[in-house]
Amino acid sequence: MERLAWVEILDRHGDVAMRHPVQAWPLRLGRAYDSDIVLDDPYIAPHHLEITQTENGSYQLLGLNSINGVMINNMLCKKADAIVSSNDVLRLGQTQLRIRPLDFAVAAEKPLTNVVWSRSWAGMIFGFVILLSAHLLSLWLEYSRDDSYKLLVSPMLSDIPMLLLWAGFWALIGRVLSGSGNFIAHTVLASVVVAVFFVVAGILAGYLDFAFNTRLVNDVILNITQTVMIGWLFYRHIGLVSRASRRKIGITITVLMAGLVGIFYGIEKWNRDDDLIRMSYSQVIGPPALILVQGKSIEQFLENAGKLKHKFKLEEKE
Amino acid sequence: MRICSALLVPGFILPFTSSAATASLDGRAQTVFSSVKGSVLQIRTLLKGSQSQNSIGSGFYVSDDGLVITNYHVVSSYALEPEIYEMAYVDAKGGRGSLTLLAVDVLHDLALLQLKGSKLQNLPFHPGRAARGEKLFSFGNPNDLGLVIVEGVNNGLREHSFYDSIHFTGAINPGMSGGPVVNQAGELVGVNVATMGESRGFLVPAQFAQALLAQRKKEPVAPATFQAEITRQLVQHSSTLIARLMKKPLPVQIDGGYTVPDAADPYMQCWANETTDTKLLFNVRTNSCQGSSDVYVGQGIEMGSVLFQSMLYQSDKLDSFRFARVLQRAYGQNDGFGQDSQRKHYTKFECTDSALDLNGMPAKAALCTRAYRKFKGLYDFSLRVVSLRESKRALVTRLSLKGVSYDDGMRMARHYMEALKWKG
Repeated sequence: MERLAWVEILDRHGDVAMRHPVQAWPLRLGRAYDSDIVLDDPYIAPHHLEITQTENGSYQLLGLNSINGVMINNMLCKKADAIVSSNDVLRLGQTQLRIRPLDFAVAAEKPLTNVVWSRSWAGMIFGFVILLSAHLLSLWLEYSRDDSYKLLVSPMLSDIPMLLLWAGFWALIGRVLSGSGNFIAHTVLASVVVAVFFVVAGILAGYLDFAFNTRLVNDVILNITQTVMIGWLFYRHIGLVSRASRRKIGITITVLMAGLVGIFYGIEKWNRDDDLIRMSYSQVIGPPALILVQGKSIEQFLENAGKLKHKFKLEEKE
Repeated sequence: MRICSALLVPGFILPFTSSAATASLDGRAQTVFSSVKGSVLQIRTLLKGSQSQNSIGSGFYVSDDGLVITNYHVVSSYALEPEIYEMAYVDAKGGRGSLTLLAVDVLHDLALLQLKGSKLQNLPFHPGRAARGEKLFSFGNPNDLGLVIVEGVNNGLREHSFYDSIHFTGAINPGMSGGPVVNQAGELVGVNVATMGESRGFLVPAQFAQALLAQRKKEPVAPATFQAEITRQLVQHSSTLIARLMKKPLPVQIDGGYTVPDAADPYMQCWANETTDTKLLFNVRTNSCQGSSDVYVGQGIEMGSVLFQSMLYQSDKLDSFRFARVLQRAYGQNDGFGQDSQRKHYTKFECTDSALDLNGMPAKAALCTRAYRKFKGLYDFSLRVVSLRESKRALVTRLSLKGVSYDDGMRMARHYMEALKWKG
C-alpha cells in the first residue's frame, strides 16, 4: 500500500515514541477502533480529529466531536479547524504528535567522534587533580608550623566525597528530567569551577589589592567574579540536566543570581551594621616584592583618617 | 556586685608573697573604731522601683550639712543612668534614707553626695600627707557582711600610676570601696578604691576629696544630669594623657634594625617575651607597653587606656609568601576592643588603610576608630602598622587608645607613626 506521510507520537521530552504511516487522506484520529490511528488516551474523543493534506503540502485539521479540542504548539484551538505544517506539534488530550511528509528534510549524518574529554574518566581525574592542587596551594600558604601538614590532610580528604555527592545530585536530577545522568561531566565541571574559586578568591584577589594598594578587587571585582562563576556553574549544570533552550536557562539563572546577590548583600549589610567589633580594612599582606605602587605619606594617610570623623556625625543624624 | 574594681595589669600577677593582714585589734584600733564607725555608711544603687541592689559600696560623712564622700564607681550607674537607678544608704545604727549626687571626680574616682535623713558624726581630714610606713585603718562593708575595720600600712604613693594613689598594704575587699581610711588619730588619709588582692590595696589620697568639697563650695548648684560633666572630665583626661605622651619624641628600642616604641612616660610599663614554641617555622619577639591611665567610667567602659604592642617577626624557614601570611594574621588580629561592646555605648568602627612610605620604610597601615554614643567627643583608636621592607623579617606594631578626643587620637597616631623607622 502506498505510504503518504508519517504521524509521530512524541514523549514528554519531544522525542519520537511511535511512528504510524499514513496511507490515505483524510486521516482520522480518535479512541474508537474505526479510527485510522487509535489513540488510547482518556482525554481524546472516540472520533477526535480528521486531517487532510492541502494542495500546498500543509495539513488541514477538522475537529470532530471533542470537548478538549486540539492544542497547536501549546495554543488551544477548541474547534480544531486550522492549517498546520510539519513542524507544528499537536496535542490531543495528553498525547503529542506531529505530521511529517516523506520528503521532510533530515539533518546530515554526524561523524562518529571520540568521546569529549570532559566526559571521560581521564577528564574526571584531571578535575580531581586540578581541585586538589588548588586547595593544597591555598592551604599551603597557611602552613607555618612544623606539624601543620596535619591540617592540610583533613580538609583535602573531604574534597572528593563532597564533589562526588554534588555531581551525583545533578546526575540524579538529569536521570529524572532527561534520562541522562552525565555524572562525569558534572564532576569535571564542578571541580574546575571550585578550583578556580580557590585560586581567584583565596589568593589572587588579595594579592592584586596588595600590589596596587586598593580594596577594589576584594570588595567589588571579586564579588562580581564570584557571582558570575556561580551563575555559570549552575547554567552548565542545568544545561546538562534539562532540555530547555540555553537562552531560557541563561535568563532564569541571571534573574535568580541577581535576586540571590540582592538577598546576600542585604544580609551582609545588616550583619555589618550589627557588628560592633569588626574592623573593616584590607588585611591581605603579601611579600614586599609584589608591591607595585608607591605608598602614601603619613600626611596623606592621616588626612584620610581625619575624614572618618564625619562618618560618625552622619550616623548620629540617622 | 562589682566594687573595688581590681586594676589588674598583665604581668602584675606576682607569686604569693605577703600574708593577709592580721588585724591585731589592739587598744588603738578599738579607739579608732569607736570614733569612726558613726561616720561610715553603706551606699547602695538600686534599680528604680525595686529594692534590689545593683551595687553596694561604702561612704563617709564629711560635713555637718550632710555631705558624704564615696567612690565614683560606687554610684556610676546612677550618675550615667539616673532614669534607671537610684541611691540609698544604711548607716551604722541601721538608719536608712536616700542620697542625691552633687559632684563627681571621675579621674580620681570620687563622688560627693547629699544625705537626707540621719545626722551623722563628721570625719575630720588629716592636714597634710600621711607618712610612709604609718599604720592606717580602713573602714567599709565588705561583701555586705557589716562594718569592719582593717589595719594596714601606708606604703607611699603607688609607682607607675597616672594619678596619685596611696599603696595601702591591707585587705581591702569588694564592698569597701568608698570607705574612709584614717590614721591612728582617726583623721581621714584616703578613700578605699581598688585592690589587686593579696593585701595590695589602693587609696585615693584625701586631698582629692578635700578638693571636691572645695569645688562644691565654689559651685553649689549640682547639675541635673552628670553626663556632660563626666564627658568634660574625660576629655580633660584625654588631653593630659596625650600631652604627657607627646612631650618628647617617642622613646624606642632598636630590634632587628627596626624601632620599637617603648614606655613614653613613667606611668607606662613594658613587658617583653619571645615565642618558645619550637615547632613554629618563625620567631616572634613581643614588646607591649601599657599605661595605668585607665579611668573607670561605667560597666564595660574604661577610658584613657594606652597600649603599644610591637612584634618583630623573623623566619629563615618560611618562603616570603608564607611569611607574609603569618604577618597577615598578626595584622588582622582584633585587639581587645571586642569585649563588652554594647550598642548603647559604641558606634561601629570606621577604618582607613593604605600602603605607606613610613619615613623611607615601605609599610602598610590601618587606622580604625569608633565613637562613644553617650560621651560626645570621645573615641577609641586602633592603629596597626606592618613593615614591608624585608621578605623574612618584619615589625607588626599596634597603638590602641580608648576614650580620647579625636584630635588627641590623631596627634598620637602621628606621633607613633613618626617613631617607626628602619635603622639597620
